[in-house]
Amino acid sequence: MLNSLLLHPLRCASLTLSVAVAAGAVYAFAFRPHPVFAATEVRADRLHINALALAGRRVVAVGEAGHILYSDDGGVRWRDARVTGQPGSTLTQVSFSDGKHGLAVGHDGVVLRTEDGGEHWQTAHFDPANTDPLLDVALRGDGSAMAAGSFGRFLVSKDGGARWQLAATPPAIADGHANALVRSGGNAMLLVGEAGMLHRSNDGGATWDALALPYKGSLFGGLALKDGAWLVFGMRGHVFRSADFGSTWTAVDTGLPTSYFGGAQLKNGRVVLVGQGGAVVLSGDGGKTFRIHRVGGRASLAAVAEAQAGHVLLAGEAGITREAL
Amino acid sequence: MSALIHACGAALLRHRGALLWLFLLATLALGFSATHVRLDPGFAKTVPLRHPYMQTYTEFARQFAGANRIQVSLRWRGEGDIYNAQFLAALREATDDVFFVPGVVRSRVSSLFTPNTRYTEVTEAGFYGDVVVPARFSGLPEELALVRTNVARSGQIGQLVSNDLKSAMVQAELLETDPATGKKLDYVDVANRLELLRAKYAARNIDVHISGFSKVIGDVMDGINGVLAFFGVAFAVTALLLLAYTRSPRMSALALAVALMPVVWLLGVLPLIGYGIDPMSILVPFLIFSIGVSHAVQMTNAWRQAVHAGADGRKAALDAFSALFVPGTLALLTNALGFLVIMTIDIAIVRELGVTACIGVLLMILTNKVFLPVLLSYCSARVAGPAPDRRAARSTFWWTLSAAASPRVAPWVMAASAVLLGVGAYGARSLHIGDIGSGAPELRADSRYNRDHAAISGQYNVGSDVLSVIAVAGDDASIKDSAADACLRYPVMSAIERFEIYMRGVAGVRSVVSVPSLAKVTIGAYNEGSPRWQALPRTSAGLQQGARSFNPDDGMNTENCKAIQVLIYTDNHEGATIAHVVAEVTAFIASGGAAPVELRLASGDVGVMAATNEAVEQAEVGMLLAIFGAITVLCLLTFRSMRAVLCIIVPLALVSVLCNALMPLLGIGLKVSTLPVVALGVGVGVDYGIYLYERIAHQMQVEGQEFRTAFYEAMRQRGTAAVFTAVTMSLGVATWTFSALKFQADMGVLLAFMFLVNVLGSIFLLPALAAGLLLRRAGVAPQPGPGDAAPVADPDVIVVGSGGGAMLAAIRAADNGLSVLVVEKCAQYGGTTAISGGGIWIPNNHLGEQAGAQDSFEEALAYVRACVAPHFDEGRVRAYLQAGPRLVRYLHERTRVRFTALPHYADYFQHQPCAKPGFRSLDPAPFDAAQLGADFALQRPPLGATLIGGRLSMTQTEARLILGKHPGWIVTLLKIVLRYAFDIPWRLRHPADRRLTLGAALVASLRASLRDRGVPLWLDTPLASLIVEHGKVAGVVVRRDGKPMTLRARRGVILAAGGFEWNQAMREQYLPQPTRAEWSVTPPHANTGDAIRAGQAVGARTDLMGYMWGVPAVQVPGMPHTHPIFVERSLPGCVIVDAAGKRFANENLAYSELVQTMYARAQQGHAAAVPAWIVFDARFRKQYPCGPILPGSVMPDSRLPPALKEVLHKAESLDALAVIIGVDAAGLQASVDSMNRYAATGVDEEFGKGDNVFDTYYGDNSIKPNPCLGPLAQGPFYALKLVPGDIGTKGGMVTDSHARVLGQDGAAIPGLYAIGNCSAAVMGTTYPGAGSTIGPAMVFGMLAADHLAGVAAAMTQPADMAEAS
Repeated sequence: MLNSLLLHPLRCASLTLSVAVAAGAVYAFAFRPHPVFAATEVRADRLHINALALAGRRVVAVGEAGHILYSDDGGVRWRDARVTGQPGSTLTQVSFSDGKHGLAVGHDGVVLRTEDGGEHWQTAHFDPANTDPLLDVALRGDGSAMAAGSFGRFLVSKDGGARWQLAATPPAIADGHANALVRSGGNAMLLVGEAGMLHRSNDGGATWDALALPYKGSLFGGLALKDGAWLVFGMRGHVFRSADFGSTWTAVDTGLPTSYFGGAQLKNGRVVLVGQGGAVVLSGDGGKTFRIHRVGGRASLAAVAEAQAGHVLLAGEAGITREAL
Repeated sequence: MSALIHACGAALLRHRGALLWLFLLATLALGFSATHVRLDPGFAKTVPLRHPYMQTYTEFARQFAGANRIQVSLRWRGEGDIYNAQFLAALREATDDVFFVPGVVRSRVSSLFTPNTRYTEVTEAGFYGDVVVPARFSGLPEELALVRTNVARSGQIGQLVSNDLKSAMVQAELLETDPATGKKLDYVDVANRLELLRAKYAARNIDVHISGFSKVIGDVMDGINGVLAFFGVAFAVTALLLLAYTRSPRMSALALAVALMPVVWLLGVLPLIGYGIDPMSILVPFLIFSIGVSHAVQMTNAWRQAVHAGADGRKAALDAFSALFVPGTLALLTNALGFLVIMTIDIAIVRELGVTACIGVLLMILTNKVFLPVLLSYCSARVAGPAPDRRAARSTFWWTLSAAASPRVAPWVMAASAVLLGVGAYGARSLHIGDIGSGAPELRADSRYNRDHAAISGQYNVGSDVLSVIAVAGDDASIKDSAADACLRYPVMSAIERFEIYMRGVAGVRSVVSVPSLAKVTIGAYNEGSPRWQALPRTSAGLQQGARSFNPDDGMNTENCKAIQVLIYTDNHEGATIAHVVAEVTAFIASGGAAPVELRLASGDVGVMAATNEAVEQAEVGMLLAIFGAITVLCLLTFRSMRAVLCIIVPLALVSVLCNALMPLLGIGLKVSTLPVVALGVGVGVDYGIYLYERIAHQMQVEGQEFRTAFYEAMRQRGTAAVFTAVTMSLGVATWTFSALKFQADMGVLLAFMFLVNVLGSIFLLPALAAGLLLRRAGVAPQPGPGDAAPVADPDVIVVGSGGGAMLAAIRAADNGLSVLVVEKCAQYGGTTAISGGGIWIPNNHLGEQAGAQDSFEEALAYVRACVAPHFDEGRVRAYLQAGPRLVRYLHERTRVRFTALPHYADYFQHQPCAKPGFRSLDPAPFDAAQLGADFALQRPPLGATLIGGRLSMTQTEARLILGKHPGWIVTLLKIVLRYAFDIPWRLRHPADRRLTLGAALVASLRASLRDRGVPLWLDTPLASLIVEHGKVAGVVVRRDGKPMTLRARRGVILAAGGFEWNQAMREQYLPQPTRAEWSVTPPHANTGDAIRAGQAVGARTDLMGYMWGVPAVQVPGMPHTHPIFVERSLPGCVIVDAAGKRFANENLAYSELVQTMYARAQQGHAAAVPAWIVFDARFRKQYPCGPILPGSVMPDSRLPPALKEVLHKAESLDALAVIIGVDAAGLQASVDSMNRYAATGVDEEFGKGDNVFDTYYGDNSIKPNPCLGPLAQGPFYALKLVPGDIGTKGGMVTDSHARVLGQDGAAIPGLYAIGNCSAAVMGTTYPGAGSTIGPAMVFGMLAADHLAGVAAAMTQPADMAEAS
């Protein structure tokens, strides 16, 4: 029952204020929004990346625990690719035959395929029983592909990487680790690996013959340069150059005792090698001599790619960084 | 209660010598003990140990690198980098130094010189690793080069070696318990040992930076030493303020000394109960001192006032004690409650703060409320200093300040408060939980520690802000050997790897490290260092390659990887960052992404902070609810009014909101140190509100002041003390602002704000709120509420007055089908009935009959005839006696009114024929006020004298039981008290007992019945005159809102507006002299004969105008009306005498008769008995109440309020007493001698006191042989002056048996009826039994209503036919 006193304006004011203070206190003490933070995402600068590849203008990066990232703006912003049947195995290399078709390989014999330039991937091969890694892959425009890896594994595919089988005439590498397939524009190829392993193919990988190198340490990769020369690089700073497709090799001193794991020739012809401890060396003369661009740090680099003229992407243990060269 | 306290105070002062020594000795002893108080910091105390995170932390504290890490960084100041012999030698030495610091886990010490720091190298020949510094290192140049290479290869750059190669560090972990000694780690010692390093290496061209919790503690300890300086400053400031306030150096010194005492005691008690002082509770002595000063000021102030009023030191001390013990103790208990609430926070360091403060405040009750009065009792007036300033100017100041209480200003204050509330609530939203800024939050940003910390963070990649999540490998059914190393299980490692990758992508995370990522590096290293081999193999054999990374000694995982640490380094330790990171971890766990691993939060610095922040966040609301809830309960218990709670709580809540808004402005986050501030501030700040409200309520209820005046008075009396307290305490804590300790500075500024602004809230907002909430009932124009429907144009009947008779008449008229309007002169309804016993005297009623009474109409007629004799009007008496039983039936059957027959309430004239020993007086049954709703607020409250403690109601029967100490009285009393106390719903609304009894019950039940019938009741509507048209009364002229208003009644007007006892002119015209209106017991200025004068104006005849319903009464100066003495006269041990000292009547003569006898005495040629004197002895004084004087056992003479001391005369001998009161000494002695003789024999030979059941009804059953007769044997003797008081006048309009008013010609005036005291009493000049006023008023009210409705004839037919329907 309302009473005349209750209706008195001053009393109403007092009661209203009391209620307001109660409400205000509840509001003040109960409702405290946290500041908004950036959404959680896989960050390219915090993911171990083993390889970079160009698919047209797009850069694709593969690495840790099967993550694949791609960037359409030269490596500034990255997006996570969709992988159907993601097995979570770390990826070691990626190769595109054109702007759309590509293959990525990695541990546990995993092979992933894309047909849309790296946005969507499907698992083409996965062998959890044989967990050793595939370490490199090459995909050609005609759909033929080959993949090499640890313990002498050498697989070929004729349908763009959908089905794989052992090569009919593999290189004679026994159970050595094949670390990289080095391709030129044509059919010439090198296969490099542990303990000075070096093989040459002139027919697009159908047949191979072994080459001799004065160095018996491991080679981690190589480059077919535009001028027809070849470079191979490996452990503890060892780099060799051949002007005659591997018949003879000249040792190149890069000035560093660290292993090189990746390299690229830029559009302007300069050669970049990257490796252990963040080492970056540059050559302006087709790999005859190198100067140290950068060294020191904890994280090793595994790959380098030219994103835009004058800018390279460096990828490795500590993720991708963008650097002007 | 107050008597008890007074007795306690007196007892204290009796033993003051012993107490003084006792307290001084206790102070000495505790002072000695205080020298043993130790600093007791500890890591575990600062964290919420019961938080789930902390349980994880505790569970894994031994296995893992916890939050308790120290880093000692040595920075080379010389040329070049660290690779020189001098620096490395120093580093080796520092490693050893750290190794031997107590509490260090020696297996986990790491620097370039420890065996756990290794490098690895991959060569063509394979994988090679060794310690970084060769075992036989001697500083040769080639060794230096080797170390340089090894360090580069070890990956320690950025870890143990700074990125610029100019510094290297030693890292170690501490255990809370020293592993060497098994004792609790002494952090101060650790900090000192580390500090020695700084000095040691400074001389060797090396700077030392030290980071880690133990060093924080060390620096905090250094800061604490500075605290003493602040104490000094606070002391000085307080002393100056005191001096300014008291203007007496001695008084100030006394107050300071007594305020210091609880501090000394507290510091002495702490070692005894095994407590130490930690960085937070070091602040407690400050608080205690400040609070102590304010209480000491109040006590000394009260003492000075008493001294200046003329009391000696001892007397003044007793007065001060009595006045302040209850409010002071209550305030201290409130403070203690505030501190106690802090203990709900589940963090040991905060709890200790609460406990320590609680103990301090409780000790203060002893030192301040016991010791200080003792001390003061020894002081002379000289100590008191000059008298307090009482100039008018100050009054003007307070009056201006009290403007907030005026209805004109209050809305503005409230509007301003609303604005502040809005701003505050908005600002409080941006308050952050946890730290703001970087570095150790305990210390200032520019402190040594924080500079060190910044240096280390800047030079190395390591962050100290690490959140450690523990991954516990679940049992995997697919693995047969459950003991197998979990790090060899791919699903486990893969899950942690996923978690790591996820967390690396979380904003606020700098980096993540755990076993899988380390294992991948190791596996890569085994495969020629190739990054492409850095992956988790799916086989155990493959994972085995990474085994070097999960060696339990490294502290990343336990044996067999049962538990694995994931270290998440965050950007900073701001609360928001921590909350976000933790939320993301939780989200990941919730998504199930971690299966089969269980991820458990949390350890590491950030884990501890996360737990602390969460505990703080959770505790905040609970703490606020607890403190405000507790204060609400406390205020309810104290004031028994929800309005009081609102007035006190609302300002506090507003200030709390403002404090929360202030914090983000000052860059202060809500943390362990700032969380208790609100509770402390509210707990201490509530004092002001309580003090002020208590005074306001007192001034309004006891002094009857209107609100603003009451508030002004409250401010004048308590305002200065409140403001002084606020200023003293604010200044005391404000000095903390300059502390080196950030948390102390934060607390200081916030507490100063709370203390100061709370007093503003009490001074401005409290009165503004109260202006609305305590709106005076009388101040409001009456408006018909929904229950009081506006009257139809002209009602059939207008009833003037709202007492028992009036309301009954209105109810009956409504039941007879008439429309009725009731008008009441006063702002409250209920008339004299509301303050009366409410009994009605109805012989032969059916209730008595049911209870076995033997009575009849004839007997009743005979008794009344005998009593009333010369004024007997047989027609009216017959009508009354016939209608009375019908009235009772009607009430019980048709209305809410209920009566109880009183078997032992005897008729007043037991010697007359047909007098009955009981059952004729009916007592109203208790009535639940809740039935009245809001109307209850408009009912005239009962006389305080009829309530226990002025609040708890009792019925006639209960009163007799308790007063006469009849068997079971204690149980009855207890029941009344408990029922009141536990009526919680009602307590929340109203201080008054909802179980109404006596007249209040009757009025309330009538009011409710009236409302049932929708009869409007207009208050504040006094009668001006009657309208006569065509020889018939056709209505009334009343005053509404100060203007005359004509109200027409179609059938007639019933006047029921009481007598003329408050009309001094009429008293002098009609009543025997001397006579004074103030001698009346009835509500002041209510019954002024308006109705009688109006009736006379239309020709009514009057009778019995020279008589009143007398009652001997005591006049107390300052009271608006006298205090009646109804029943105490029957108690043994008293005599009532005239000026000659002679007894002139049975002391217990019916009150009306006694007053007539008093007047008759002089006329009969005796000594004057106006005034008369009631004289009693010490035993009577001690055991019985007498009028306003409570029994001495409850209120000893010394405790009597000054006004009552004036009234109660006292002397050691009768002779001396006779002189004082001016009666004949010999006569008095003779009367007493006679009485003493009668007491022995049990027979009052003169007046027969105690020879009948009426007298013995209220006698003391324990006194033999006659419960009403006792000797006046024991001195001192007492006397009270009795004046002829009244409970109304008897004379008025002459009426017939239908209550019709008769004109001068004896014929009824058409349309005019009169009942109650405005009509000439049907009982003539006498008072046959209890209820002879209200009984006839109601009976004739019923008869008038029946007559008006034209049903009177039917009613007078026998056998209650009408009511049978």
